[in-house]
Amino acid sequence: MLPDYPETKHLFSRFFQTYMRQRMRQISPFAMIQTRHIHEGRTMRVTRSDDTQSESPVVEQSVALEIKFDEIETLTLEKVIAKHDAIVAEMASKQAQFIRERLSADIPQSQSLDGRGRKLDARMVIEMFDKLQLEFYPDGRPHEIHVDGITAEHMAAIDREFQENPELKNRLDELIGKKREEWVAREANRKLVG
Amino acid sequence: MLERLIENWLDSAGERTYQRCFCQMLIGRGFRIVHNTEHTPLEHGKDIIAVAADTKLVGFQLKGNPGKSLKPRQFDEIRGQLEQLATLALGLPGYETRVPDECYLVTNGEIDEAVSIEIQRLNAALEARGHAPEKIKTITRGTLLNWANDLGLALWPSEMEDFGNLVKLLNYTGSEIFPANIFDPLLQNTLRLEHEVPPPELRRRITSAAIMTAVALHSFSRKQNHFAEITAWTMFTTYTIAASEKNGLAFEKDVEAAVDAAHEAIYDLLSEMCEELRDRKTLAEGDPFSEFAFYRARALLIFALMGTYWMWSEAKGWKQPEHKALTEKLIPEDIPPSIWGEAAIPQFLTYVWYRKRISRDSTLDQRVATVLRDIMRNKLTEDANHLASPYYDIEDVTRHNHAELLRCDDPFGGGSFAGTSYVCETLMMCIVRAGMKEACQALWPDFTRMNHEKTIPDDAWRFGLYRMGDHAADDTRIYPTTMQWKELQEIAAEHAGSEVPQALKTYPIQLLLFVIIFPFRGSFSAMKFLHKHFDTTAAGPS
Repeated sequence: MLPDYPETKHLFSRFFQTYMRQRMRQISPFAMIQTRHIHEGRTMRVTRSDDTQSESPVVEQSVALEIKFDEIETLTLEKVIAKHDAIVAEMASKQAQFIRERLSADIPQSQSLDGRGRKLDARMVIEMFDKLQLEFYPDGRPHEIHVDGITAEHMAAIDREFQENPELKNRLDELIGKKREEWVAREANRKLVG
Repeated sequence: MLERLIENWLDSAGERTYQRCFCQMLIGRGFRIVHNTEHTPLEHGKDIIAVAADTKLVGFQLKGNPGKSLKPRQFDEIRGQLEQLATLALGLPGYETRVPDECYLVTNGEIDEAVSIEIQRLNAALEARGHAPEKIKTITRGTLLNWANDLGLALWPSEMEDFGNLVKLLNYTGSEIFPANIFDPLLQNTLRLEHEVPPPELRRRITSAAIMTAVALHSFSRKQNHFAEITAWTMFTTYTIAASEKNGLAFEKDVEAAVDAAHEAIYDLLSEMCEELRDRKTLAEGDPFSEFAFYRARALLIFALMGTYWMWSEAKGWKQPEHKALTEKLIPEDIPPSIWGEAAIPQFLTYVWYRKRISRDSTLDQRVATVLRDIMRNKLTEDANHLASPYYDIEDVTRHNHAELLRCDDPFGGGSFAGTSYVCETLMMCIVRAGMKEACQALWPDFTRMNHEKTIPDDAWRFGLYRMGDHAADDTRIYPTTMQWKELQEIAAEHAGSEVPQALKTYPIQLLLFVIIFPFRGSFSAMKFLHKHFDTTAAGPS
C-alpha cells in the first residue's frame, strides 16, 4: 500500500460524524423530537393506557456519500464539509418524509383536520387546537406545538392575525383554557383506587 | 498460532485459574465431578474427585508450576496429602467410605526427574500395603496441552475476526471491566448459536467454549480481576444454557455438569473477592484522583456481589465459614445515595434483599419507594440530567458528564432518557409486594406519566446473550391513569419469568449475577422472578 496517516484521519472521521449529527439537529424539521437509541431488536411495540397496541418495524435510511477520484486532488476542507452538508440535507428530507407518513398513518381521525387546500391561518389554528389533546407542564404552561412545513414568516403572519383580531385571540385563549381544564381533570384522574 | 496462545496461557496460569479449565476438560472427557474445591485447611489435598466413564473413582491433586518443573522440595510439601488421597476414605457425601481407585498429581508445568523417582517409590510402598500398582499417576503440561488442543482448539472459530477478538482480549492489561462485546461473538461462534447443532457436537463445543473462556481471561486472571472472571464465566454459563435450549438438549444429561462447574468457579471467585476485601483499607482502586467519579458506583457493585455471596452461601453452606462475619462487616447497614443510572438498580435491589435477610428492617421498603420517587422526578423534570438507561454503564455516564473536559465522544450520542424508564415497574412491584398501598397511591400519578420500557426476546434462549440483535422487540407500556389496587397487585404478583430460559431459572443466583453484570437484562419479568426468590419478607396479595 501507499503511505497513509490513519490516526489523524480517524480524528477527521470523528469530527465529520459529530458535525453531521449537529447539523442534522440544526436543519431537521423534527430536530426537537426526543431521540432514543434502540440497542436491541427490530420492532417497537407500544401498549397505551387504553390497552391499544401499535407495532412499528425499525426502518433503515441511508444516503450515499460520493467522491470521485479526480475530485480528490483539489479537495479542501470546505469542499468536504459542503459534501457532508448535502448528504445531511438529503437525510433530513428522507427522515422528515418518513415521519410525516408514519404520523399520518398513526394519528387517529378524531385528532386530524383536513384543510381541503385552505391556507393555514388563525382560524384553522383554532380548529386544529380544538381537535388536539393538549398537554401542560406542572406550572400550567402548554406543551410547545411544533409546526412542520410552515415557514417562520408564515408563522409570524398567523401570529399577527391573532394580535390584530382580538376576537380570534379570545377564542384561542378560551380554547387553551378549556384544554387546561381538561388536562387538570385528566391529571386528577391519575389514581390508584380500591 | 492458536496452539501458541494456549501454551502461553498454560505456562502462566496459576493453580486456581487452570483448575477451572481442568474441571471443564474432565467433563468433556466424560468424567462426572463429585467434589471440586480450592484449598482450605480441611481439604487435605482433595482438589477434584470425579467418576470416570468406566465408573472408576478418581482423585486429582493440582499444583501450579507455570513454565517450571515440580521440584523435590515442593513435592515434599504435598507428599502427605497425596498419600492420604490415595489411601484414606473420602468422607464425602455419597462416598463416605470409598477410597479413590486412581489418583493423579496434576501440574501445568513439568515434573523433575527426582520427583518421578519419589512417586515410583511411593507407589511401590502403597502396592506393598495392598493398594493397586501405579496408584498415583501424573498429568503434566504436555497432556494438558493435548487435551486443550483436542477438546478446545479444534472447535474454535477459525475466522480471522474471531482470532482478532481473542488477541484483543489477550492484549488487555487485565485491570479493565471485562469487554463482553468482544467475548460475545467468540462464544456465539464457538457454540454456533445461529445454527442447528446436533447434541454430540454441541457437548464438545461446550467444553471448547469453556477452554476459550479460560484462555480469554488470561490477562484478567493474572491481575486477579475477580469481577472480570465472574463476568466471563457468567457469560459462559448463560450462553451454554442458551445453546442447550435452542438445540433442545437434555439439560441434566448433556449440559448441567459444565454449568455446575462454572457455577462453582464463580462461587470460588466471589470467595476470593471476599478474601481480598478482608485485607483492604478502602474500596478505592487505581488513580485516587479520578475516584470521585467511580468510588460510590464501585462500592454499590461490591456490596451487591458480596450480598449475593452471602445469600448463596447461606443457601448452600459456607465453604469458608469465617467469611460470613466478614461479609456482614463489609456490607454497611446503610449506603449513601448511589443511583448513578438505571443500571445500578439490580445492584441496589440485591443490597436491599440481602439487608432484609439480615435485619428484617421495614425501612428498606421505604428506601425502595424513595428511589422510585426520585427516579420518576428526575425523568419527568424538563431540564434535569436524566438518568441513563441500563444499557449505559458507569464509564459511559462519566464520559457523558465530562465529555467536554475529557475531550471524548459522548456515549449518549444525543439520545434522551426523559420520561422513559426500564426500572420503575420493577421498583413499583417491590413496594406493591411489600403491601405499601399508600406509598403506591402517592407515586401512581408520576408512574402513569412514564413510558415503561423493556426488551423482549423473540425466543427465551436469547435472553442469556449480551445482545439479541434483531431478534427482540422494544416494548413500551403506558399504564392507564386509573387502576384498581387489586389489579396492580395481580400484575406485581406474577412471577413466571417467561422471558428467562427454563434452565437459567433453576440457577436463581446465576440469574441474579447475570442481571447485576448486564442490568439491561433486569426486565420487569426477570426481576419479578428474582424478587420472589430473594425477597423472602415480601407480603402476599391482601
